[in-house]
Amino acid sequence: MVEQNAFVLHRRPYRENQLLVDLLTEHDGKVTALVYVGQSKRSIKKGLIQPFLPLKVIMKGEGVFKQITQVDSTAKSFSLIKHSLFSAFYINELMIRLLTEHIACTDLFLQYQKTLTALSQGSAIAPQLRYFELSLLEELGLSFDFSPVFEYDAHYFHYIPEQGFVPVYSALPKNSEQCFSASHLQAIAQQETLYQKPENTNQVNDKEPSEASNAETDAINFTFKLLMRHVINQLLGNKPLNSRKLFSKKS
Amino acid sequence: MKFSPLVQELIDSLKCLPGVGAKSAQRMAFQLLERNRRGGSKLASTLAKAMTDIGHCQQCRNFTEEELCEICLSPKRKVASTLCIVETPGDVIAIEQTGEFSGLYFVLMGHLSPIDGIGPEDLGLDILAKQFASGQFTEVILATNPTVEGEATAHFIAELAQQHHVNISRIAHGVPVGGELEYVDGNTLSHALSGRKSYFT
Repeated sequence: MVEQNAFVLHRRPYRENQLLVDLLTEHDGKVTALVYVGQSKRSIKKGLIQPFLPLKVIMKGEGVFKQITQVDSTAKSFSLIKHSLFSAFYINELMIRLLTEHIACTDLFLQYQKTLTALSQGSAIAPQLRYFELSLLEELGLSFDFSPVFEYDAHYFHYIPEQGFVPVYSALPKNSEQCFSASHLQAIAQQETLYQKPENTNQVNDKEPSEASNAETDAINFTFKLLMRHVINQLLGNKPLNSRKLFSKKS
Repeated sequence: MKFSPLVQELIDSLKCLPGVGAKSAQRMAFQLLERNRRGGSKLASTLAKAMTDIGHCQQCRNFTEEELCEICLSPKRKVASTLCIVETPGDVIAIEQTGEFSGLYFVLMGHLSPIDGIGPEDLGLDILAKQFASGQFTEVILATNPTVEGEATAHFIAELAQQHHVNISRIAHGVPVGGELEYVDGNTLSHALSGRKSYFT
C-alpha cells in the first residue's frame, strides 16, 4: 500500500469497465495490475491510464494481478510527436517483451524518465535509444566487454552471446548484422564510457565528432545500432518487434 | 456430471463473445434452450448469414453486406470534399448522430498499436492513399481517439495526406458538456487550455 511513481507501458480492456495495465514502477519494476475505470465521478479516469504520463499509484493485492486503488498524475504528459512517439512505443515494447515482473529496476525507471524527457525535448533520437538499450541490457544482466576488440589484431568481430566479441580472420565479412568493424567497435567502446556517465548523456553527440568526420560518425552509430539490434533480437527470439514496422514504413 | 456433447459445444461456442466466461455462457445456453428456442434459432440463422455476407465497404471500410455502404452510395455525399477518418464503425454512428457532418468517412477498424501487433498495413492505409490520390477531398478530419495510439495513428495518416496536398485538421480535445472542471483530469484540461479558441470568431 505504498505510493510510488509509475508509468503505464500498455493497457487493454478487461471485462466491462476494467483495464489490464502493464506498469513500470519505481520500486517494484514491471507490474501488471487491474484498474476500474467506470463512469462515476469517483472512479479512476481513463485519461490518467495513458502511456507517457508520470503517475503516482497505490496498488494492493498479493495475487498475479494487483489492483490499482489510487492514481494521480504528477506532471504533464510528455509531449511526444512523430518519430519520438514511435521511439517511445519501441522502448515500451522492449520493456514489455524483455523485463520480468516484480523485479525492482529503479535505475531503469530513472533512465526511462530521462529518455522520455530527452525525446520530448526533440534531442537526436538514436543516441537516446542506444543509451536506453544499454541500461535495459544492464538491467537484464548483460553488459559489453569491449576488451577483445583492443587486444586482438582483427578487422572484424562477431558478437556471440555469453562469449562476447570474437575476432574474425577470414577475408569475406563486411559490416553486417553478424560482423562488426573493429575500428567502429573501438569507437563505440569509447563512446560507451561516455554513456556510462549519466551527466554526459546530452553531450555524447557533441563530443565524438570532433576528430571523426560526420560520415564516419554516422557509420559508427550505424554499427552501434546493428550491434544492439543483433543482441536484442537474440533476446527476443523469433517474434519480431512490431514498433520497428512504424519506422521501416517511413524511411 | 457432464453435459451432453451438443450442450457443451453450445456453451463453449458462446464463450467467444466478449466478456462471457464459462458461467455466463452456461446461463445463456440454458436460457435459450429452456425459455427462448425461437430467439435462439433466429440468432443462429442471423449469425450464420451475417458471418458469411457482411464484409467491408470498398470505399470506407465500414461493415456492409453490399459493395459500398449506404453513406458512400448517398448521392449528396458522393460529391463531398471532406473526409472524416475514425477508428471504429461505432464512431461513425456517434458522429452521424450529431448531424454536424455531411462528408464521407473512412473507418480504420483500429489504431496503430505496435505492442498489440497492429501496424500500418492492418488499417487499410493503402485504400486511404488511393482516395487521397483521387483528388476528391480538400479536407481530411482526423477523428481518431485522443489516446497516445490515436495520436500516433493521426500523425501517420497526416503525413500520408500531406504528400497529396490535402488540408488536414484534428478534432478538438477538451472538457465534456455538462462536465465539471474539478473532476476533469489534468491531461484533458491542459489540452482544453492549449486548444482554446477566441470567444468572438
